[in-house]
Amino acid sequence: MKNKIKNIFAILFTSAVFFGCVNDSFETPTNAECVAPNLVKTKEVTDIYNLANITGNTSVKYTADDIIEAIVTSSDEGGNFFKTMSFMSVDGTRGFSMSIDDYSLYTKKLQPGKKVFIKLKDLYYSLPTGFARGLVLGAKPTSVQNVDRIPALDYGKSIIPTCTVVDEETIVKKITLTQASNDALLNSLVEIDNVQFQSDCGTYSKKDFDTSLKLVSGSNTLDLRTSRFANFAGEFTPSGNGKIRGILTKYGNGYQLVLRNSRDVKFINPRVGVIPPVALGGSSLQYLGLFTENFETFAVTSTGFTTPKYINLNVVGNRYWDVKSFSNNEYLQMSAFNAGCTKAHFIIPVDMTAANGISFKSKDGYFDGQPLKIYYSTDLIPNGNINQATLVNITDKFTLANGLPTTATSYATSFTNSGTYAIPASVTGNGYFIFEYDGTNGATTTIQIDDIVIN
Amino acid sequence: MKKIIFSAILILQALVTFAQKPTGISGKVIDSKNQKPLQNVIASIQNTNLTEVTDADGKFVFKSIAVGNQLLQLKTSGYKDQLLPIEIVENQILDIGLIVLEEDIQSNEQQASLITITENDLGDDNSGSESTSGLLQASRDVFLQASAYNFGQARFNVRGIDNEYSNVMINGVLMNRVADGRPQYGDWGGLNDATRNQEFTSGSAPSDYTFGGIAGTQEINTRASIYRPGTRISFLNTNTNYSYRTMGTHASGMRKDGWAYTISAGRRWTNQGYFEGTNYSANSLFASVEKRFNEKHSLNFTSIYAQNKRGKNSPNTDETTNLVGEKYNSYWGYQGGEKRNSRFKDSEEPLMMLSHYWKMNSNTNLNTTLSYQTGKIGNSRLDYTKSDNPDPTYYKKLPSYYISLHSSADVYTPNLAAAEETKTKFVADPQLNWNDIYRINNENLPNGSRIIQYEDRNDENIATFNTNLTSKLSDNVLLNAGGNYEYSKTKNFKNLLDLLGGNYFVDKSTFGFGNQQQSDLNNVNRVVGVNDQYGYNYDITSKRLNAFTQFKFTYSKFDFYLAQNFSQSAYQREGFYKNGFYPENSFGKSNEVVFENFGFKGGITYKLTGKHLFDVNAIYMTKAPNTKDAFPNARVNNDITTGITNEKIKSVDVSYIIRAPKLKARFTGYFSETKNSTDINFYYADAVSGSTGGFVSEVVTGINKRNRGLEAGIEYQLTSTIKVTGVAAYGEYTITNNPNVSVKDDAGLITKNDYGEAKLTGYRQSGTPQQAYSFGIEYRDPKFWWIGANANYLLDNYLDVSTLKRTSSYYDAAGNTGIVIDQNLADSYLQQEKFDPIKLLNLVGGKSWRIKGHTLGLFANVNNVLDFKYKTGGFEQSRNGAYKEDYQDHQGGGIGPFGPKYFYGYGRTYTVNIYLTF
Repeated sequence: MKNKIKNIFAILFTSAVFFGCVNDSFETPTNAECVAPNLVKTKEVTDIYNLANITGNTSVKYTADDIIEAIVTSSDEGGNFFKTMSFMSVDGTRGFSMSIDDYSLYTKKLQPGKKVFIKLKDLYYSLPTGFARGLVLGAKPTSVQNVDRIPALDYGKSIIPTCTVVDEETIVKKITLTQASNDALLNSLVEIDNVQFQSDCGTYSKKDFDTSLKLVSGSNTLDLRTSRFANFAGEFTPSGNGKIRGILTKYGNGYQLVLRNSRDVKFINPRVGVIPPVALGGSSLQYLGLFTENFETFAVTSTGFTTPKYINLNVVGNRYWDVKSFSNNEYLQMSAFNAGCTKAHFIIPVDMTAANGISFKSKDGYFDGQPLKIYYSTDLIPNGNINQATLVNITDKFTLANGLPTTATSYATSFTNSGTYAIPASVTGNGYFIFEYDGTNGATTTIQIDDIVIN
Repeated sequence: MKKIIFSAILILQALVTFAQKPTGISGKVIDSKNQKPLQNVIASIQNTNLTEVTDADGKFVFKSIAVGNQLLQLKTSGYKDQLLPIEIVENQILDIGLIVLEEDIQSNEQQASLITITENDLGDDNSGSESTSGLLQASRDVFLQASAYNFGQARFNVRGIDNEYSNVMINGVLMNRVADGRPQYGDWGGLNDATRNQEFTSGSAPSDYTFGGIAGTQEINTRASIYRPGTRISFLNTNTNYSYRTMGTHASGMRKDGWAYTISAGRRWTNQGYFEGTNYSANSLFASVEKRFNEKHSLNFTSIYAQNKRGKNSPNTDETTNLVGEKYNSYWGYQGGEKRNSRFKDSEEPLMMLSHYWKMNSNTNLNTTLSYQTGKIGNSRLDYTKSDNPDPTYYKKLPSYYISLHSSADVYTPNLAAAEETKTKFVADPQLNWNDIYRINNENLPNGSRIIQYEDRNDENIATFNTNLTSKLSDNVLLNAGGNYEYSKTKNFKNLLDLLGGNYFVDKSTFGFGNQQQSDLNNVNRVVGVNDQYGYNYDITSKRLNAFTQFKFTYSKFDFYLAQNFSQSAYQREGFYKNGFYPENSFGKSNEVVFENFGFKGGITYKLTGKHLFDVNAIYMTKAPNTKDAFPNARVNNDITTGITNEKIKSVDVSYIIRAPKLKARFTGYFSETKNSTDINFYYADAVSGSTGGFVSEVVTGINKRNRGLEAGIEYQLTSTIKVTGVAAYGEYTITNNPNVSVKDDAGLITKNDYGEAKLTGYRQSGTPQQAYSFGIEYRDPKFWWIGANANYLLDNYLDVSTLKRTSSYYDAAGNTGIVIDQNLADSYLQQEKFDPIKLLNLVGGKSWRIKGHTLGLFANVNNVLDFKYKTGGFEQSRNGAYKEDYQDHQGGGIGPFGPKYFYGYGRTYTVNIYLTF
C-alpha cells in the first residue's frame, strides 16, 4: 500500500512539476512614447484661403514646401463623415476639409482635438463655389471632384499627427442658431443651444436616402444633414430641447450641421412650444352597458370626427380619428402618413358594471408597423389631462389586423374580428375604452375600426 | 423486414443444436520479460464465438471446442497477438502450458506518441479536413496502421470518409456531437495510457457496441479492473503542436476486496508549437474505480477531466506564404515582448460515467452506463466595431490588392509603387498589432472598446443512458443488442473575454438600420463587460433515441452477420435574444424537427482455408442531419433549413485476406455513396448577384457523394527480425450531382436567395489525399530494440471549392456589367486545384531495458525527414462570387487578393518519449 501511495505521488509530481509553464497573461501595453514630429508651420490656414479665393471652382497644386498647423474637428466614428475630414486652424479662425481615401480615420491618430501638421507640397486645394463649400485639400482632381481623395497609402505623408490632443471643450464654438450662417465657421466644431427637432419623431436619416432634418430655435431653422450610411441613421431623434454639437458645412447656399455621432445631441430639456391636445366631441357622454357602434349614421370627416357621444383626442400632433366610407360601409380611420409625430385617442364611455365585454373589427393598409393599442380606464377625466389617467393596456387580448397577408402597399381585403374581451369583474362603474393610434415610433399604417360592440 | 429477420434467427437457432462433452484446452499466459502472469488476456478460438479471459493467475480454459485442428488467438492491449495452431482431442482438456506474450513496444509506444492531427484540428474554422487517424491508432491492420502513423500527418482519411460517419464510444456511450457529428477527441486527450483499451472496427464491419456508420467504430473501455496493474510514467518531447508531455498512470488491478482503481494524469504544453504563435496547454486527469460485488455484478465509476487551451494558426493564401513562409500565422502579435495569439480554442468538458456490468449467466452480459458530460468549448477571436479589421492579412494590406486594382469604371489601374510599399510594410511587420489595438481602445475610453477579444462558446450538457446486451444464443450465434437515449442541450453565445484596454463594449452592430443593429431588442444598446454574453444567445436541444440488434453467425467455412438499427432524433432551437433583423422569429422556441432513421447491414466471411479469407460487408442506412445543418442561421433566428432530409448512405466492401505465419495481407475494394447531405458555410460575399455584398450563410442541400477505391496492405516477415510492409490506397472521391444553393444575409442586401444548382458534378471531394502509397522496413532486435523506416507518397488531394461560384450567379449579368465573359478564362478560374504530391520519409525506433524488475523504455521518431513542404488542405474564398471579380483579380498576373487559403503540413518533426513502468 505504501508503495502505491508512493506511486501516486510520483505521478502527481511528474505531472505537476511543469504546471504553469505556458504564458497566459499579458501586460497591458502602455501607450508608446509619442515622438513629436520635428516640424514647424510656415503658413496659416488663412493664407491658403487667400490663395484659394482666386481659383474659383477649380483646383490648384500646391508646389512650395509649406506646412500648416490644424486641429481635427470631425470624426468618422459614426459613419456620417465618409472619407472626408474637417479641421480648423489652431487659432480657431478658419476651418477646412480634406478628402482622404481611407476609413476609420479617427482610430488612426486623427481623432477630434488632435493637433496635426499638414505638408502642403503636392496637395491640391480648392474653394468650390457650388456643391460642398469651404476650403478643401486633396489629391489631383478627377473630372467630377474639385480635388480627389488622397490615397490610403499617401495621406500619412501629408498629415502628420502631433502628440497633442486638445480638449474638445476648448475648441468648440458656442453659437446661436442664427450665427451658424457664417462661412468663417465652415468645418469648425460648433455647439448650438436651445434647439430642438422640428418634427419630434423620426430617425436621423431615412433608410434609402440621406436626410436633412430641421433644427428649430424660435422661428429660425438649420438643416441637420445625416447620411443613410451613418451607423446612427436609424436611431430616433430625441424630442426634447437642448444642445447640439456638429461640424458646420455648406452645400450650395444652404448651411448644414453634420453630426459626428448621436452623442453630439444632448436634448435633455423639455420640448418647447408643445401644442396641448384639444378634445373633439364628448359634450354629452353616455355610459351604457349595451350598444353597437357601426359609424353608419355619421358624416364622413377629414379633420376629425366630432360627436357628443365620444371623445376624439390628439394626444401628440394635430391629427384626429376620422369617419370614412368605402363600399357603402362607414368606419373609423386614422393614419400618421405625412403627419409627423402622431398619437390619437378615440375614447368610448362604458358602464363597466353593466357591460360584459367588448369586441370590434380592424383592418389595415400600407402596413409599416402596428400603431393600434387598446386600453381601458376607470379614472380618466373627460377633458382632463390624459397623462394623469391610468390606462390599462389590453391590446394583446385582441386579434388585430397585422399586415398579413402583406398589406405593405395595399389594404387588407376584409376586416379582422378582434374576438371578445371580457371585462374583469373587478372593473366597475363608469369607465372608458380607448383606441390609441400611436405613430410616435414612426409607424404610418392606416388603421380602420368598425362594429364596436359593447354588451 | 424486421419480422423476417427475427423469424429467420429463431429458425436458425432451432436448427442449431449441439451435444457437448468436456473437450477443450487450458493454458497460462505470462509476460515475456518479467514472466509474470497476465490477467485479462482475451483468448479465442478462431472462427468460433468461443472467447475466454485469463484470470489473475493468467489462466484460461475452454471446455467445449469442436474436435480437430483449431487456431487459438491470444491478445491483449500492449502485447503482440499470438496465433497458435492446436489440435483438439475428444473428451480431453489439453493443457498447452505457458504461453508467452511479448510486449508490443512498437505499437505501444507509437500509439502513445502519436499526436493525432485531430487534436490539432487545424481545419476547425474552415474546412472539414479532419483526419480519422485518431480512430485508427488502436488497429493492428497494416493498412490502417500506415494510415495512422504515416499518412495521418498529411491528413489522409481512410476511404475519404469524414469522421462524422464514424462512431467513437467510451464504455458504449457515443461521443460524436450532435452539432457536427464529430467526436471531440480533446475530451480525453493526453490520457493515452488510460484510453488504451480500445476495440476498433473499420468500414461498416460489425461492432458489439453499436450499429455504427461507414467509417468504423472505436470503443474505449475504461473499466478499472481490465488495466494491467502497475505504474507507468513517461516524458515526451516533440516539436509538433506541443513540446512536452508528462504522463503518469497507476492501475491497481482487481484487489481481493473487490475493488480496482486506475488513475492517470497528463500534461502537454508549449509556448510555441510548430507554427508561429501557437501555444498549447493541456491538463488531463482520469480516474476509474470499480467495485465487484460478486461474480455477476460490478459497478464502475469513471471520470475524465481534460482541459485544453491552444493557440490556433491561420490558413494562408499563397501570396502571404510566399512573402513570410508556411509557418506564418496571422493570429498572433507581440504584446509586452511576448507572443499573444488572438485565437485559441479552450475546452473543458469533464465526463462522468457510472457503469453496471452484469454477467447474467455464462452466455449473457448486460452492460449499462449512465453518463453525464458538461463543460465548455470556446473559440476566441477579435471582434471589432467602427474600426478597421485588425487582421494583418486583410486584403487591403497586401500587395495583390494594388496589383489588381481597378477603377470604379472597371479600368485596370495597377499601382505597382503602392504594391511594393505594401509588401515592404507587410514583410517588416506581418503580425497583429496589439499596441495599436490598445491605443485605439484607450483613445475611446468614454465610448467603449472598438476592438475586443471574445469567444464563440458552446456549452454542452449531455446526459446519456446506454445499455448493451451480448448473448451467446448458441455456439454459432451471438446476439448483440443495444439501446440508448441521449439528451443534449448546448448553449451557444458570444462571451466577452478581454476589453483590450477599454472599460466596456456596446452590443450594437454597425450593420443594418435602426433596430436591426440590435442583437437583442429586449435589451437595446446593451453595455457589456468581461464574461458577459452578447451578440447571440441560444440553446440547441437534441433528443436522440437509438436501438440496434445484431446477430453474428459463426461456422467453419462461413461467418456472417446481420444488424439493424432504428433511431429518432429531435432538434429544437430556443433563442434568448430578439434579434433586430428577425424580431418575429428569433426569440423563443423554434419548431421541433424530428428525423427518424433506420439502417440494415450484413456481411459474410468465407474461409477458403484458415489462411485465405474473403470478406464482404454491405450497409444501407439513413442518417439524421447534424444540428448545425438543420438550423441554417441559428445565431439569429429559428429558421429550419428548407428541404432538409435524412442522408441516405450505402456502402459495400469486398476483401481478400491472407493470414499466413510470414505473410499478412489484405486487399479491399470499396464503394460508398452518401446522398442528400447538407452543408452550411458562413463567409463574407462580395458581388453576389450584383449586390454590394455582406456576411452570408450559404446553405447547400442535396449533396451526393461517391467514394470508391482499392486498398492493399501487405506485411511480410523477411527474417525473424526484419519485416517489410507495403501499403497502397487508390481512391476516387467525387461529388456526383449538382446540389442546390441558397444564400441569406442578415443585412438584407442580397435580394436573391435561391441560387439553384451548383455545377459540382465530377468535382473531387476535398480534405484528403485520394491516393497514398507506403513502403516500410523494420528491424526488431531480440535485445529489445527496433528501428523502422517508411517512405510514403501521397497524391490527389484537392482544394475545397466555393459552391456559390459554381452556380449560374457567377455569370449573372448583374455582377458582370461591362465585361464580355471569356468562357475559357472562366473555366480556368473554376478549375479545381489539385495539390502537389507529398513525399514523406519517416524514421522510428525504440529500445527498452529491464532494471530491477522495472522497464525503462525509449521511443523516438523523425517524421518528414526530408523536410518536405506541402499543403494538406485549403479552401476557395467565396468572396468573389462573380466572374468579373475573378477576372479583375487575375489581371495582375499573380495571385489575386482573394486567392484560396491553405493549410500546411509539418516539416521535419521529431518525437522522443522516455517511459518507466514499475
